Amino acid sequence: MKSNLIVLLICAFTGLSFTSERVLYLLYPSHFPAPTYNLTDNPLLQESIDLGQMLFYDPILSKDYSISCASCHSPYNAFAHTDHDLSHGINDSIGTRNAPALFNLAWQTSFMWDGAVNHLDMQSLAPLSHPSEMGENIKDVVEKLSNTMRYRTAFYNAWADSLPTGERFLKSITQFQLTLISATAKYDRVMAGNDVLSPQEAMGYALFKDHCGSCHTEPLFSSYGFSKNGLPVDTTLDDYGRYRVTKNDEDSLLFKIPSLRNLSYTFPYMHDGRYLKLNEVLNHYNILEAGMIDDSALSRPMNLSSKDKVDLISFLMTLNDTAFVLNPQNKFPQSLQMRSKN
Amino acid sequence: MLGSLCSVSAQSGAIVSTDKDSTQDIQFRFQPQINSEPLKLGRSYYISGLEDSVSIEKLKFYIAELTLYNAEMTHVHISPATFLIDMEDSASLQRSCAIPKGVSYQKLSFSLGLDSAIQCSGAKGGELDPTRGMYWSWQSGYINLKLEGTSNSCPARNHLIQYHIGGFQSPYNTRQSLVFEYDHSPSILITMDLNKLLTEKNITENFQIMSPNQKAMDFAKNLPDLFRIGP
Ligand code: HEC
Ligand code: HEC
Repeated sequence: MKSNLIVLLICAFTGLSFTSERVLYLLYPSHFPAPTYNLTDNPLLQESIDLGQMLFYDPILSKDYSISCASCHSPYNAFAHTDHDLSHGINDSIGTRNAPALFNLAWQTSFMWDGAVNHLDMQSLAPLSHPSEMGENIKDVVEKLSNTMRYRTAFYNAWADSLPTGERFLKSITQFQLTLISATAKYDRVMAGNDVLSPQEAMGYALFKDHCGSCHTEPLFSSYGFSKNGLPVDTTLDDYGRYRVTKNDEDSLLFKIPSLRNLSYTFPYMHDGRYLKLNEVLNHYNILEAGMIDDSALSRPMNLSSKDKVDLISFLMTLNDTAFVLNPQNKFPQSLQMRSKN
Repeated sequence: MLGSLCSVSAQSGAIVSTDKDSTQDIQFRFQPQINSEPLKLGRSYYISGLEDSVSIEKLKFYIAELTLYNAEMTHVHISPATFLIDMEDSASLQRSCAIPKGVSYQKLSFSLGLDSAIQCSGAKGGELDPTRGMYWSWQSGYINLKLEGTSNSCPARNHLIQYHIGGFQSPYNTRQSLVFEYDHSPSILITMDLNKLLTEKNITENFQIMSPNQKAMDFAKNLPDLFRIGP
């Protein structure tokens, strides 16, 4: 309590102001396109990134203080939810979709498997309010944060005002998530000219470009558009993807194309987590019959041999970004570990 | 935080004035009514067309781009550009603004609901803050109008009538534009006649609309008809 007050006083004297020197920028390699998130609407500051990270890891966001964002998006799994095909929320309730990995969100223009969310800022509202995820609502969360001294201090540091609001809350979580950039895989080193693909990986790369690259577009390994990929509907879930949002028949069974970075960490795969292994994924693509999907790379049979599959998987392994997954900066923040009574 | 204090925003083709002496104050009052009486939340009203009583527990809606025009259709935007009318906050019903004097304003327009630019550009504060309870969580988009109440005629659980009308993407763009003649009065009463909504069909069949869909569209299209200038 006392130390927090001192922090506030020091801030008042040093006149914490939003000078341009404090504004941070996203770092990404030259083979990446420019991010699509408009940072002028939400200038990055270390203090708001830190606040966002605190919020991301804090179960205070759920109704019964049991679930944080990280419960379903673990840093050790490139922020996906490993072991669970469908996500698990408060009171052990089970959701209807697999929690996707979180990285390179600054390049995405729609969110969720069906694109129901059109802006990263607004995404947090979905898990927060979902009765089988965090079971809360933004008004009550903001109220809880207002009553917590360490958050009042953190909001003051980040927003020059100790009052949490919905906007500041959402934008802070966004800021933390924008910093989750996966751009240090072997593939990226190769693109930068600092490494080379092995002959097997190179053969896999050629197969990838031929069969996968039109949807899982380089260098992010997703166009972040929507498409069918031939999965039959799981009749226990009846999830028709994009159709749920647009109610347009043509959008039935379209799902957002996921990135293929970090696949070793993000299993199980697909919107409902139906496949545990990459081999199963490739078998799925390999047995698609001609004509099952029009107008895409999947309309012609792939005829992948067992060797092709091994080669392809060896290339996919070059997209694993161990440095990103192990980055201590993205993990459970100090500020929560050291927290006192309030 | 709500109510009063607004200013004229400069726009191309707009009438702009910064000089204090050359501006006049103008007042807007939004007044929802039932049975020609000012609406009171939680009060039971007998609706003759329905042969039953209805009580309204919640009424909130967004007004955007409130604008005055002169004969040449030169215009003055009244700011803030968007504001939330909330029956639980009586100050929100009354808005005042300084506008350039000596211009013969003839028309007044506003839209009920928010445009897609606002809906697609991330988190907003103030009257657009999601804590105001006007943002859907499971799918991006603001609720343009929220009306909740009860009536025994409503077959829903606990007789709850719930209209959360929103949607900004074609074919379910629920935002409505309204234009009125304006008679130079410095205080403008904008009446909203709720009897036109509390029809038998709406209470007994369409009593729950909670997402952007055809029902929401049909409902929204009827909303402009509720509004008039004057008592
Ligand atoms: C109970 C598990 C659970 C919790 C808690 C949870 N999420 Fe998620 N998250 C999911 C699932 C499942 C999806 C996919 C939902 C869908 O497609 O409908 C998802 C999707 C996302 C996405 C979209 C990613 C993309 O590529 O489209 C983001 C971003 C995200 N979550 C961030 C968060 C944040 C921030 C929090 C905390 C405020 C959070 N999640 C809490 C399970 C969870
Ligand atoms: C026509 C577009 C398209 C093509 C071509 C395509 N995919 Fe996919 N892929 C998708 C879509 C859409 C999904 C998500 C489907 C779902 O969850 O229902 C997906 C999902 C995946 C996943 C699951 C990822 C995760 O995180 O859950 C993997 C792995 C994958 N694809 C690998 C491949 C490989 C390897 C190829 C080439 C052999 C390929 N894809 C070709 C569209 C495509």
